[in-house]
Amino acid sequence: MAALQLLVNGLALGAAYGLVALGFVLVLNATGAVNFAHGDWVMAGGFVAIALTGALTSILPVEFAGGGAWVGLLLLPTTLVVMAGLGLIFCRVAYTPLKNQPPVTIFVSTIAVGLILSNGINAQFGGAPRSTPPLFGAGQFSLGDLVISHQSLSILGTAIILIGGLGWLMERTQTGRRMRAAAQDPEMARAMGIRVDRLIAVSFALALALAGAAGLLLANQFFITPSSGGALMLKAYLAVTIGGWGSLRGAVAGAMLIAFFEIGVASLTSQPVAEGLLYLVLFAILFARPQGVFGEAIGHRA
Amino acid sequence: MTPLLEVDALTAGYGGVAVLRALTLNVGVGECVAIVGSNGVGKSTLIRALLGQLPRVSGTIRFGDRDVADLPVEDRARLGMALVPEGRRVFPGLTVLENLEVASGQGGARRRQSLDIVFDLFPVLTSRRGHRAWQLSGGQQQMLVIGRALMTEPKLILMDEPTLGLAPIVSRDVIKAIGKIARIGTGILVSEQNESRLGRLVTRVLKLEAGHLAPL
Ligand SMILES: Nc1ncnc2c1ncn2[C@@H]1O[C@H](COP(=O)(O)OP(=O)(O)O)[C@@H](O)[C@H]1O
Ligand SMILES: [Mg+2]
Repeated sequence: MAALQLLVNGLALGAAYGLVALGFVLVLNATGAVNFAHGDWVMAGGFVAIALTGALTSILPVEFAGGGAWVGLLLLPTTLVVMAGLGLIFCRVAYTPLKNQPPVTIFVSTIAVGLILSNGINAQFGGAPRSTPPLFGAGQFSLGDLVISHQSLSILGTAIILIGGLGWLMERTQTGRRMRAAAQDPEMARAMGIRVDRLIAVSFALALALAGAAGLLLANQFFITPSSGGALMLKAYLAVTIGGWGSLRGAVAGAMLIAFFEIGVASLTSQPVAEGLLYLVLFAILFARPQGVFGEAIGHRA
Repeated sequence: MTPLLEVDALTAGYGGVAVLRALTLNVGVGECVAIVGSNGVGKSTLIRALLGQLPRVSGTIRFGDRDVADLPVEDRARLGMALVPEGRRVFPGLTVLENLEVASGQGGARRRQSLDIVFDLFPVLTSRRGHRAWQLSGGQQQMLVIGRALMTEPKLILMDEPTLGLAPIVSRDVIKAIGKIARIGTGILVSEQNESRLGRLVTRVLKLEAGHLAPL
């Protein structure tokens, strides 16, 4: 039973990390640049959700506001929308003016945005740990010895819907095909009439919406502070390195592996040992498959 | 003949060095014009400048009845210019079918109609529609790129040395397909080295030399 419980918790955490990593990959693929602010955007998403909780609680009639569950339900879509809007602004401010510069310039620009985010949020909210409300209330199920919090299931459910939705968008729609084509050869995509700049803006909006969802979901069980971004960034980076640079599938798989170590392996050993083992596995994977588990080794034929 | 592309006094190049010097060119609706010239003379430069991948220094480019010289690449493409670039450039990680679909500005029945036209033109692509484009042979990639250009329902296709590096037998298939495309009334501007291998299907052959075009 304990194992099953760990599995659910591990899957929920992995799913939330998956959202973090997917957002990172979306911008990476669209711009070819590492968005070093991504962890800070996840953190900011948590604080956006906290601010929205206050706003929604004060707008909603008391009978809804009191219950918590309603606030949580409204919180997810509003956080997604606000973060998507911030994504468009982020694109406009930190990427568009530099789009003809080498990726390293954009990388530096995102570092600056990350610093502004963590310092700005620190100034606004203070440095104390905060948490978001649970999505569907704070209860838990018990099935025999198995105890699963509503929040774990909410995380899992929300992440499955968002990840599935993104997969559908990328694989089954013309917008998704165009995003993939533009990522592979933007100049050729433009020559076919594809509005690449618009797709890049869409990628930023999607990336930050996913970051917002992750921030909202994670900041319930694990408190966040304005300096939480660094650790989240590292997880996204690791997940993508394990899974394969640029691969959406790989990002989710890598995130799951990290969560498996943080919860499963840590429960058998200890947190530091689990972390050490995770890095050993990372090295082993990179040694055996430098392109990552799902990395596509796109070959060339004459 | 109704003019489709009218280029006047086009000067363009790289970093202050003009490769095209006050070049003049006209392509009529449905015409197939070949541009020949030796390696490095500026054929690719001309095609890039027409599509807007390379900013011009001066001169006018009219397409249809619009002045397109200041439009970005994607807008020129949307007006009906399509590119078959030098060196092919498929989207390697997309499947053959996706490479074609992604180019279509239309949905539903109209996109399927365009797909049928392409698969009719290049039957070999039909059996490979689920393969990733990088897995195709060079000749198949060239066919895919020509098909991809057709999917945009273009008025004019700019083809940059479409038979370069292909085996003679494959090259013949590609040339045959270009002939069919010309016959359905799509304008074609095709660059080739030295002499035109396209034979009777071209209406005119122009030679690019010292930044100018002259009838051969
Ligand atoms: N990106 C570039 N930067 C600078 N010079 C270039 C560039 N591309 C081509 N050139 C120069 O422009 C001239 C014409 O090149 P190009 O148009 O590629 O010729 P062609 O296609 O006829 O072989 C050549 O002298 C070439 O060296
Ligand atoms: Mg050339």
